[in-house]
Formats: sequence, structure tokens, C-alpha cells
Amino acid sequence: MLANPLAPELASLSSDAAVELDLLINGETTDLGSVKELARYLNETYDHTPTAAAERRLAVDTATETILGRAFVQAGDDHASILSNLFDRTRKVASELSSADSSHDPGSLEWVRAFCLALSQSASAYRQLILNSRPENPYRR
Amino acid sequence: MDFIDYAKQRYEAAIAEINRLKNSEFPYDQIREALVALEDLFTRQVSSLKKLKLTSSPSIAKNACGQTLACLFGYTPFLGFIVRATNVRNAFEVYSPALRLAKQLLGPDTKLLLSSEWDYSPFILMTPELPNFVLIGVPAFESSNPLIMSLAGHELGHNAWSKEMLGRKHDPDIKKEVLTALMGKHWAEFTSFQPTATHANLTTDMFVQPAWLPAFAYASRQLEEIFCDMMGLRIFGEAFLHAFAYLLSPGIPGERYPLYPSVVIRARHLEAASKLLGVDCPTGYQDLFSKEQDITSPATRLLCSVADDATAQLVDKVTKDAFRIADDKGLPTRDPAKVQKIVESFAMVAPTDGRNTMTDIINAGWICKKRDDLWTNVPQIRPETKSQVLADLILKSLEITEFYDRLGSP
Repeated sequence: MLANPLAPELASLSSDAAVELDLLINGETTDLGSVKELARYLNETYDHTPTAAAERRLAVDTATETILGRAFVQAGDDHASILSNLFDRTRKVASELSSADSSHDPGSLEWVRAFCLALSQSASAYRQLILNSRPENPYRR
Repeated sequence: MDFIDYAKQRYEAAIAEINRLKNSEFPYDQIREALVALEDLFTRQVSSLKKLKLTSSPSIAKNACGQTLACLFGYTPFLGFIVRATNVRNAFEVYSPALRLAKQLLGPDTKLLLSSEWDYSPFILMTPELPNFVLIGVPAFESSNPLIMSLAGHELGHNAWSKEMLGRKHDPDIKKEVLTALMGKHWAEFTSFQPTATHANLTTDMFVQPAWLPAFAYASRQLEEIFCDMMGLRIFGEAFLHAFAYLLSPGIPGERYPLYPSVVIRARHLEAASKLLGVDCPTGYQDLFSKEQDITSPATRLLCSVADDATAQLVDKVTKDAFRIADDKGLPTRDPAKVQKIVESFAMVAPTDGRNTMTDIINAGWICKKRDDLWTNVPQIRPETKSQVLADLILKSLEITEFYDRLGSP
């Protein structure tokens, strides 16, 4: 089950994963706990039973779908088609995260790192959409 | 990269403050447990920061430090809340009955903190980082007023909404209704703001979706608020209606907030739901409230209208959810015979004896509060002290019922 996308943990988790991948790319030793946790998290967003391509949809709410879509676009995907391809793209990135290690192709690791950073920023931005609409004290600056 | 050192130093300061706070005296253990949970959270943030190296990419390091900063912004108010939860201004007599109610609704692991807050609106703090914790804040000068405790029913509703995953349950319906409203009567106005939008790309293009997404977010939150109103009404009946009006009528002048339904609409829904529950809604209840002004920003006004239309289609569903959940959990409804018995005790300036629900006690309190002839034959109680005497009787009655509960007496 996905965590609440409005809660800080998705933004923090993907930030931690980006930090770990960055260390890996820079040749530093690091555990990849957050990378693997994010992979598990993304793995839970889709049904693993085979279905026709047209029926493949992520089992996520609208907020999470938006957060993921924005992250993919920020990481270089096409804005007009990403939501249609979200299932396949999420499955691919989850797989990349699951298998990430020092023997991985550097170009692939760099893309996954960029995605994790984008996901962290996308989750933070969505939360801000809600926070900015709250009533505030009129005298507070 | 100085910002990494600054981020670490900020957490050293925050954790040091938590350790100082842990030496305070706490009226109940759950306050200390919340502090420990926050300390754990902050310690995890420090662990994240320690992973950053001088070789880390600046963009990655800045984002990581920014996330930890957001965490401090988000959780500093929790620490203030915890400090104020220890204040003697709080009506601690209410704590155990409120905790019992919270556990009944949310499960036996629920931990409750009640605090007197310097914020006029009652509110709840919720975060997955403090699972099972319910933090309810009430305005400082009302925190010893048991009559407004019926609003806790609304605040607990937020936790129930989250625990029962009702946002996720209703997500497809909300999205469908938002899109229906958007593509119907609001389409011309919407496309004037978003000319590239077509019916076909509304849900497929990431450049178009953000244009209507706020309407979805507003509708989701509006429905949650209505659900919470219904939960409060279901648990506390008339007492909820009175407390809601006491605290909010006639409403704050100015533009409405899109995350909340208009206060007049909320009152209308409460009136309608009262009929379903057999709750005696005061005549002209809606008229206690004024319609807020429309939102000035054309784009926000449009999105709020779309949200209002979507919300209106789903009110019945969330109302049924609230009643069903409350029934399934065996939450109390007010028992008119018991309420009347308590009223008779209060009329004799005596707390009620025996085991009674908070719902019945507070409803009896509201009946007495609204009786002009109450204690007119008791010269020792001056009119200006009537509210305080009544509050004391309610609080004492809650204490008595707590004794019976703890002793397991009928």
C-alpha cells in the first residue's frame, strides 16, 4: 500500500535514495537501504498479474499518479504520453532500483538518480499545493 | 557545502530541546511517548544528513538538506503542541473519556494528546511519522470548556478518514465528478485559462492535468470535512450542532477557502443529516451563518466551483460512510432518557452519578446552557457564574463516570 503522497515520507525516501545512488555513482561505499525501499514502494503501485496492455493501470490515487507523472516528465519523459505509459515506466524504474548496484551501467544509474531527485521534488510540490490553500492568520508574515 | 553543516547543527539544537522537554512533568504518559517518537524521527533525519559527503552532487545534497528543513518546519509545531498539552489550562477530566472514544473509533493502540492552543480554530495534527497518535488542539480560552468537546467528534473524523482510507476509496468518484463538472458547464471558462486542453488530453497530458488538479484536491478535502462534520453529528448529536455554531457562527468575513465547503453549505448538510439521525436541529440553523464572499482570483474561483459541484454529488456517500463506521464501531448516540436524567441532576446543582457517556453528559450540558430559567431559584449562583458552574458540573460528571468505568461498574 502506498504511503500518503501528501505526507513527507515519499519526498524524504526518494531524496535518501538519490543520495545513495549519488554515492554509488561517485564510487563511495554505501548501503542502498532507501533505494531498495523505494523500489518496494513502487513495486506495490501496480498489479503484477499479467493483463492486456490496455488494462494496465497503476493502483494509485490521483495524487500519486500526478506525483509520479511529474517526476517522469522532469526526468525527461514526454509530457503528452507519460500518463498513458505510467504503468510500464513505473515498473521499469522499480526494476532498475531493485537491481541497482556498483556493477550497473553508469548511464542507467544516473537516470535513476535523476528520477529519484525529481520524485522527491514532485512529492514536495504536490504537498505545497495543499498547504498553500490553507487559511492563515491575517497578521502573520 | 556549508548548508550541510547548518542542516546538521539545526538538528543538534532540535534534539537537545527535545531532551530538555523530556525532563518535564507530564500529566499522562502519551505526551512523553510523542516526544520520543519525534526524537526518533529527528535522529533518522540526522542519519540521512550523515550520508552526505563532500563529493555529493550539489543538487542532490541541497534537496536532501531541504527535505530535512521541511521536516523541521513541519514538526516544530508538534513540539509546541506537546509543551502546551501539559498546561493546567487543559481540562484533564475530559482526557480519559475522549481517549476511550478515540480508541473505540480508531482502535486500541490509539494515543491521544489534548492541548490548549493559541489558535482559534480547533485542529488536529496527523502524520504517518507518529502512527496511532491523535493530537487535538482547542483554543486556549475554550480548553476548559467541556461543551465544545463535542467538536472532538469532527477532529477524530479526520483520523477515521485516514485510517479507513476513504480518500483512496472515493478517489475515482471524485476524479470522475470533477471531470464531469469541468467538461460540462465550466468547459468554456476552463479552456479560456487552458487553451490547449481538450476532453481527450485532460487526463493524459501532464501539462494539462495540473490545470484542473487543484479542483480535485479541493473536492477531496471538502469531502473529508463534510465526513468529519457527519462523524461529529453522529457521535454528539445536538451538542455538535450547538458547539459548531458557538465556535463558527456567523463565519469569518471575507473570501472562502477552497479546501473547506462554504460554512452555509456545511450547515445545510448538517441540517439534512440531522433529519436522517433524528437529531433535533435548531430551527433556522443555516441562518446562523453568513455566506462567504466569492474568491476573487478567477482561476481559483473556477476551480473551487468545479470542486463544489463535484463535492455536492458525493455528500450522501461520505455521510453514509460516517454513520456506518460509527455504527460498526459501536460509538454512542445520545440517549434522550439518560440526557434528561443528567439535566435533572444539573438542575439540582449536582453532578450526575453513575456511568454515562460523554455524549449524554455534554448534551445535557448544552440543554442546561440554553435554559434561561436554570438556577434562577438558586441565589448563590449569580448569572455571570452560571457557565462556570455548569462547566464544573460537566467535568465532575465526566470524572465520576470515569471512576465507574475504571471500576468496571455498570
